[in-house]
Amino acid sequence: MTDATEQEPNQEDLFEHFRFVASKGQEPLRVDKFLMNFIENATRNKIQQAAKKGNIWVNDTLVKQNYKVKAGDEIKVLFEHPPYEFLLTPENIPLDIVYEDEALLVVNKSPGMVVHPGHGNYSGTLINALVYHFDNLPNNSSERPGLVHRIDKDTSGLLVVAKTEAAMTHLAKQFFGKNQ
Amino acid sequence: MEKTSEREYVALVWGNVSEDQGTIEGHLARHPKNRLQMAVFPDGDQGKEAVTHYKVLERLGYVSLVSCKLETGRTHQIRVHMKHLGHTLFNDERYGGDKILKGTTFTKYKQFVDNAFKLLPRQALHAKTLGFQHPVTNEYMRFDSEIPADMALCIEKWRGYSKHAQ
Repeated sequence: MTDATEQEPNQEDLFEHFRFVASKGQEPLRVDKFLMNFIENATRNKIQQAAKKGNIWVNDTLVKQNYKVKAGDEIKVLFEHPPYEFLLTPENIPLDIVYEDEALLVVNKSPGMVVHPGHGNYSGTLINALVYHFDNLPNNSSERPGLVHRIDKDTSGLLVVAKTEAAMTHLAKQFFGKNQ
Repeated sequence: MEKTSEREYVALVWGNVSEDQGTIEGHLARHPKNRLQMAVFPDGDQGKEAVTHYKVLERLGYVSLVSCKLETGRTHQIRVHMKHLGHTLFNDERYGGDKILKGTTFTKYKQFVDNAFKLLPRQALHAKTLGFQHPVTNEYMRFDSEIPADMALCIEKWRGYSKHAQ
């Protein structure tokens, strides 16, 4: 069975990968050519494919590859998957869980384990392990599920992780909310 | 707001810490020249307020075992504050603790320290105790952990060395 009602994708469901604002002096230019100039490693073919799939938006409206970019236009490239740096692959890494209940857990982090993905560390982090072992961890503003505080990579020891939004807010206030 | 969380670390630092206990205060911000490091700005005109309370647990000759309680939780806070006090963390490469900062120039001593670096291939810092108020039950919870094997072994070696040296 085929789905005949091909719906326009909803911007809210997509993840922003690139965003550019055309400068004041921008001469009218095809959006695919415009993006070629700004995105590293982009090919015209890839950009046109993206346009066909409905990934290119200008001023919050879906555009085709031949759309002419004008001064002040806001050009966004959106995809269904989160940007690579936030793409969390669940990994079956054993964790030393000291305590766990409905609201939170306390982990004893081994030395050498990075807490969250970032520059150069996209796998093997505590977060990769957490998303494997636990579903629906709350997201804080920086896309680090459950994380309340951090420990440096080469430091070992205890770390509390929130399992609900409410616990996250409560704990964050306790660790960072005191006259700071 | 009343203080409802605690974080206590155990660190092995270079040198014999002069006071048995004390408080290190000094704003922390990124190092102006080395972006990978944080630095102390004592005037408080830059960075964020940071407070560390320390207590000497054991004096082991050229190194000291200290407990550090955080009043604030800034990036690299203990590492930078202890360095500021003149006691860089043992084998803390980023802050220069992977060099022999205290001791003698004897070859035997150098061999001993190199061996200790190998036993503990990271900064000598462990987040030992964690306490907070439970978000649902409001009960205060406190967790304690063992010093991990690599660090415990390194401390044991220093303990042996300092006894032998006396």
